[in-house]
Amino acid sequence: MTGGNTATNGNLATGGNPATDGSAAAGENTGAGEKLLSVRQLRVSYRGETGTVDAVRGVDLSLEPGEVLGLAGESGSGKTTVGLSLLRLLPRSAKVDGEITFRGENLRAANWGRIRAVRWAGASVVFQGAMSALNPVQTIGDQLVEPIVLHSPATSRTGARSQAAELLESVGVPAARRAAYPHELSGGQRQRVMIAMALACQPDLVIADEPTTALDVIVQAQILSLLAGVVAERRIGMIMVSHDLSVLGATCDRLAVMYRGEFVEERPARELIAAPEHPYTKKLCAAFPRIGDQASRLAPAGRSAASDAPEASETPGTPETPEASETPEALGASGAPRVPEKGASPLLEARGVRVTFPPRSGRGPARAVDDVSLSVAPGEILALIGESGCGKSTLCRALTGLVKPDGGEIAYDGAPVRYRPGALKRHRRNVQLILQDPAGSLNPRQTVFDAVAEGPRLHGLRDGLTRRVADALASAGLPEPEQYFGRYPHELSGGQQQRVLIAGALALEPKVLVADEPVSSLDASVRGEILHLILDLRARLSLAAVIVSHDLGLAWNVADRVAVMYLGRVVESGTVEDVLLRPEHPYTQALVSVLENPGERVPLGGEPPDPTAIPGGCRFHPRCPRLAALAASDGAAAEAAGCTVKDVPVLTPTRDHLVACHLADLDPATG
Amino acid sequence: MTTAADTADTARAGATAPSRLAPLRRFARGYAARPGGVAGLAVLVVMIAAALAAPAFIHPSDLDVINASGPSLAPPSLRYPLGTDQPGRSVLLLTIWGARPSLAIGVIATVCTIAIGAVFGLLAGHFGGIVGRVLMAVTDWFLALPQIVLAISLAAVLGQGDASITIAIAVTTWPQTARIVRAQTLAVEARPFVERAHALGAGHRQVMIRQVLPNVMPLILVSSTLTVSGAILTETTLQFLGLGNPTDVSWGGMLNQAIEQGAVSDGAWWYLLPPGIAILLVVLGFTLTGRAIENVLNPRAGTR
Repeated sequence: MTGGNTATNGNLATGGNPATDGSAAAGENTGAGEKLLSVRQLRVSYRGETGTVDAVRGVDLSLEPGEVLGLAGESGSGKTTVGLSLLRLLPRSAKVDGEITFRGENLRAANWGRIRAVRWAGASVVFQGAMSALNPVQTIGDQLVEPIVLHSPATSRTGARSQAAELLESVGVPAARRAAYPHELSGGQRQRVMIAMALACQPDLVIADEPTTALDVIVQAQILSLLAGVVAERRIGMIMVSHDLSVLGATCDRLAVMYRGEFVEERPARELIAAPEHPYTKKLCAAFPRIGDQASRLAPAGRSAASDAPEASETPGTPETPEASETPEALGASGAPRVPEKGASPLLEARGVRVTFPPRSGRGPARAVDDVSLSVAPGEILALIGESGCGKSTLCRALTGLVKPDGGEIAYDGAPVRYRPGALKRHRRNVQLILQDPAGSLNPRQTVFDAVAEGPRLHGLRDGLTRRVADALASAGLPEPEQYFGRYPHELSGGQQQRVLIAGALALEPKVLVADEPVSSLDASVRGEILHLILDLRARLSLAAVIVSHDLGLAWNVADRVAVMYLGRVVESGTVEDVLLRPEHPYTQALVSVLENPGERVPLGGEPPDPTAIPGGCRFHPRCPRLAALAASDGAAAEAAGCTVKDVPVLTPTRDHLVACHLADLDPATG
Repeated sequence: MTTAADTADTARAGATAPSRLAPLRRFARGYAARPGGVAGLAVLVVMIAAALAAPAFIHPSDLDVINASGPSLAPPSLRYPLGTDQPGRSVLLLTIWGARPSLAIGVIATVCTIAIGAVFGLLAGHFGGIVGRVLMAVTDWFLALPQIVLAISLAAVLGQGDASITIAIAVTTWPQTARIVRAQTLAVEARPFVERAHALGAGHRQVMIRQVLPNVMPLILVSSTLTVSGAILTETTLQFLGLGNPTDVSWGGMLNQAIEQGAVSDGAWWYLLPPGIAILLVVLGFTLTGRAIENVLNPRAGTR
């Protein structure tokens, strides 16, 4: 899995290796404390059909009790392989070399029985993707009891059960939920259970492999602060593996950046993030934008499409050419904002759209989109931000005509869309959809040519098809398009796949792109390239776009306007500067604060909302920190505001800054 | 649905790109690496070649009960390598000739099975709701038909012969194919590229033919090789029960006659074994081929 696509050419950082300096420095201040873990010259290679692939090439690391080490890197950098090799959790095809000393014991030489004893009781793993790591046919209580009984046979089942209940409480899951099956829990709760399981046998070391990937930003912040608390409280060591520097920066003491199986930089986390030294680290840091940083406004990090080398996405951040990401020309070319004038007539509009899904398996109908109005003008980019389950993807599908709204209407160029085959087909020539998962969105049995030609063929545009396909691919930033014609999707990198999909949309010469999380499954360095491309298309073709994302940073990077959605409604909207720099709705404020300092403070309690059970009154009131603060200080005023009984007004977003909140005037931040 | 302009475009596209035969070559290389599949394919090639070439070296009079010239139930000799049957015909020639109806009925029945099953499965998987449920109800009804009873009734109505055997096999096996194809269709339809096709403006027909079918095709291919072996076994059974044309030579018919003519009590193993081994070989050949294709197309299934 990991390291599979690590290229075999020796295009590596040479010269001064900061990794060795860093670990030497860390070794000096060990002082009295015994090292918990020390790894010397770890090498891992995978035997594959096409020869061996070196996933890890000589990594040194050490960890003390109570310390958190972050391993950062993009897919294929070998970070997960390092984490899993410590407990021999790698597949048989992996060959591990080097020295792994854990609590003074050489794990490389240990026999299987010893390794099994160390696993879980000595060192445990929090896996990525709690849904697949938990057994779906066992209750979480039973799954917690199992390792406790196995590793300390003295414990009775009853004793183990009460321990399990305590563990669940300690990670913030009510003990009463221990009879629940994994599918009955929310994503955040499942991840909490995974953490409880990792702690079940009181290990000295926890290896967390992408513990918060695929979680919503607010839940992610909750999980990170939980992990940080656990480490501090129990004085256990933790190795946290992630692709997200901001996650690591918030929780780790030290941070090691991996690139092609080696540490390119290892330093105290804050120092490293504030002032990255290695060009690759610089590039990685730049990929995570800071809101308010004017340099990244309408200028995502990474190369612009124009200056893109064909293999750019396959060799992320080649250390020899760090300047490419920072040349002002590259930023200026596509970054020039072309904000449409006020009052330009909207191109694509949603007018009071409602989408309700029928009830399923005992749950009421889901009001996924509940009275949403919004619009984009030609050449304008609108970002639609929200957590999972807020209805943003459904709205995307409604805008492209894939879902028929059961209230309100979608209008293109002033005329409402009709849901007849012919009319829908015309609508889809103008409004094209880009989906989240580029690998899955391409038919594995279609060549790139056929994938891009699909749209024109469906619309009968057969004259000059080759020319059209080549132009579309070139527009999408794939120079010399002919070389891609005969390739199959699996032969392309993730960034190239997304470009092919964008080319497939462009081949129909649409006026609006609707993109559902277009970069969320891409590596940080590729993310910037794709966002650049979207800006570039707007500049050249005056293409409007609605970009749906959970990532406020993306809005800061590319959008003109933002609409924040919560439970099927827009709660705040306006220009990017207004909403992100001066958020007024407590929900937006929470999202912004999470992006600015993840893991420091959990701004919101609770779970992402459930569209089958929308609370009455203002739908945000059960989680609203502002209402809670007001109720604590002045109960009568809180009652009078009517948050729990009176619905907030429905917004019709324009360029003005609009907020749907009864307590907007009482904002302690602005007032 | 491919027009001339379209083909020209594709051809031009192919000219600048790596050869379109590349996937085929990759498949051949993967297949060659599986000895079981190669052996199975070799058996099939020999059998099919012999069956096709049979009229060149077997004269109808060799198979004629009345004109048979050899000794009755003679053990293998130089003149009759596999001995003779009771009327005095060469068992070797009978066995080679017997491959013709077995293979023909097996292949034709399979083609019908796959065609009906694929259409039903694809439609039922693509159109959920009422249409899908009705189609699956029909499928389940056919699944419940008893094969042999149906074949006997068909023989009574249509008369004994290859046609009733083929129909009986096709009618009773297609529901399995339909179920497999439907399951795969559901899995493919859940993938994002189908949604992309809808967003590009594709209708039902385009989605089914251009997106789903190419992804279901490998499965249909595997399923059809395995269906052939099943169909040949059924065909032999039905021939053995005497539902075929009694004057034709077939493996099942040979076994039937061997029993009736007392090969068992006479200890004439040379009359019983050749058709039996031939059936075994041809079924094994198709099964090994099918498994090998499956493993090449879906490498993950192979190692378990």
